[in-house]
Amino acid sequence: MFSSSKILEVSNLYVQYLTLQGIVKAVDGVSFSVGWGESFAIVGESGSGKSTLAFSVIRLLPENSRIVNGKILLYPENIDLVKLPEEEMRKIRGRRIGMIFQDPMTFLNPVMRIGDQIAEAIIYHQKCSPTEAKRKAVKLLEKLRIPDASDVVNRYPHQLSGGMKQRVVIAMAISCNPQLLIADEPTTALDVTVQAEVLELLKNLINEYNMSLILVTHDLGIVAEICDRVAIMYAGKIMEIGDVYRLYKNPKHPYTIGLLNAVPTIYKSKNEIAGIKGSPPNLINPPIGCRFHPRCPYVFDKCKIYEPPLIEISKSNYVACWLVG
Amino acid sequence: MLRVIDVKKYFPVGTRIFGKSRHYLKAVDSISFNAFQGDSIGIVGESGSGKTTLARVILRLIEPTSGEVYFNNINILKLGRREIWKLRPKMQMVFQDPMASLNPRKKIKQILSQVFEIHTNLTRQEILERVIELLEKVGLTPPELFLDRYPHELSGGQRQRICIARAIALNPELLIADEPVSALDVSVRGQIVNLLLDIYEQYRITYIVISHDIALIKNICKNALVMYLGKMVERGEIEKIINEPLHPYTQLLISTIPIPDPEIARKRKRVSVIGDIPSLLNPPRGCYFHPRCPYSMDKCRLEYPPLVEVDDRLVSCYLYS
Repeated sequence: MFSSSKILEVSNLYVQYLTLQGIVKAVDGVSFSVGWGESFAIVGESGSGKSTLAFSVIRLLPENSRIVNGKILLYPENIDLVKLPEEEMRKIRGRRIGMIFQDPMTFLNPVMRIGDQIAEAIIYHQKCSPTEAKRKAVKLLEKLRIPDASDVVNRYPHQLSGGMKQRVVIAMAISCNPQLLIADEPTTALDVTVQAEVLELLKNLINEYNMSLILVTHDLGIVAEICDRVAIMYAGKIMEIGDVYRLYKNPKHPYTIGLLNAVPTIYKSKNEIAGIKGSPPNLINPPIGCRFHPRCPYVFDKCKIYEPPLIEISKSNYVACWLVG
Repeated sequence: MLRVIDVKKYFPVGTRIFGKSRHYLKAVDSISFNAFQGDSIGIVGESGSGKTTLARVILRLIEPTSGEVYFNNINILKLGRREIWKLRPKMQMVFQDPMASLNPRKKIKQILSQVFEIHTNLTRQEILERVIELLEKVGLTPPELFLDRYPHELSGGQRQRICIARAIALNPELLIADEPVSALDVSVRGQIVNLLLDIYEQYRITYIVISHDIALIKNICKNALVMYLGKMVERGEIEKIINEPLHPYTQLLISTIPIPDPEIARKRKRVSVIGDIPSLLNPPRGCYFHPRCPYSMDKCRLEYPPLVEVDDRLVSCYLYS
């Protein structure tokens, strides 16, 4: 019912890091929106700015960074998260926007019992008693198919396996029924067979609670499994946005095409994997014109001088390339 | 050319100062396989399956608990330090993390020359020529641009190319690549895979590629060995393993690989997974896979299934014996 309306809109966002070597333009003029109940993927390689983008949304950026320009609007109230005071932001984190991080071991407090960690957010946001919160924690763990949940709440993180820990992190993220979940490489630290189970779980939860998801990943495989729309990021910019089915079947941007060809799959025969020549640029001095031009097989003069805008090629499909449109 | 016979590597756990440890972690347990000249074998397994330990034993970077490894009919586990040292140029390895396997204080020129300085009697000029030739071979052109750089000045893909150059410098007969692309970005992975394939085709060396990614193995290797918790569960031609996996673990592994195509990914049938990988410190009784196996029978809980031959493949599962 909400499918047409937005839950989050990022417009013209610029995020920079101040380093000794110079200013790193990690996110450079990015705009996109996520609909209610939609699973949106941000795909990119290391250094593409995808995690910076996700962390900007919940304002958990490191100290040497700053949001230079842009808006992050949370609907339906139209709150601009960029301008929100820290105190107000705390009420949004966890309550309205849940977060799942890459490495569960660094996210969980090693000297605190699992149950207490989950209960902490519930007590803060829902103002309920510790016993009530703990009861809810057990229920959440059961929901995430953790065996002997009532026993697990009394354990410490190191006593659980990687897959179990990540399920605890997911339980914490959804404990206050957020409408939007941001998952930063949620399964990268897990083994393939465990990853499949965690993804399945995540997919079911999102459908059940009608949550929106922003999945940040480098893995085009897991995007194909669970997302509705994808944004392809490269060197701080969005190169292409589109419906998953369209994007995988008919990629438009040369970078997207290259990326899809670079993934080995069991459905391709030998010698078909092609890499993209060169490597991602340094974001202190990114290339002039299109950021991808030094690696692009179709480069022409215009690409080296002017930056292509992100233009709409069909409904909710956008491409930033001079070859298109 | 390479024969690995019943290799075991047990690590003692909780060793006391006096006396022997009572517990062992069986990282590699009774693995056997042959590789002929020009074979390419992939070792597939998840973390803790013992794939890296096996590779280290084959090159004798660590001493196995028992077993034999024949390289050109020489049992390398019986060789003395000097003899194994002479054999080293013939067997080389490329490691997962190129930054960790290159000396950060040495220039690329020094890193690559060292190989020749140690194992050949070439003059300085000849060595430099060989180094330039190597850089060209691994696609680092123009080579002059790279000679005086340090590893940190290169990108991940370029560093891995240096590691590959170093490994092939002395024309090895056996090359083991341990997760050669895992540390690299997706767009760069393809380049390195293609470089490995080119080298394989050009030199016809024997290849062993270790990876958790069976799709990668499919693109590089002819044969594969699937490992689970230190044991070999299936061995055979990679095409056959992927098209018709026999062992329930292989079936699970293949059905869980993410497929970068939403149409196929959302239609395919999944094998349901039950639980996480057990710890090697306390493996289940009987078949190690039985707690997660959808076909587990009473027999599976009692004794580890032996390897049996089915359809030109070896598989250790009671479903086939």
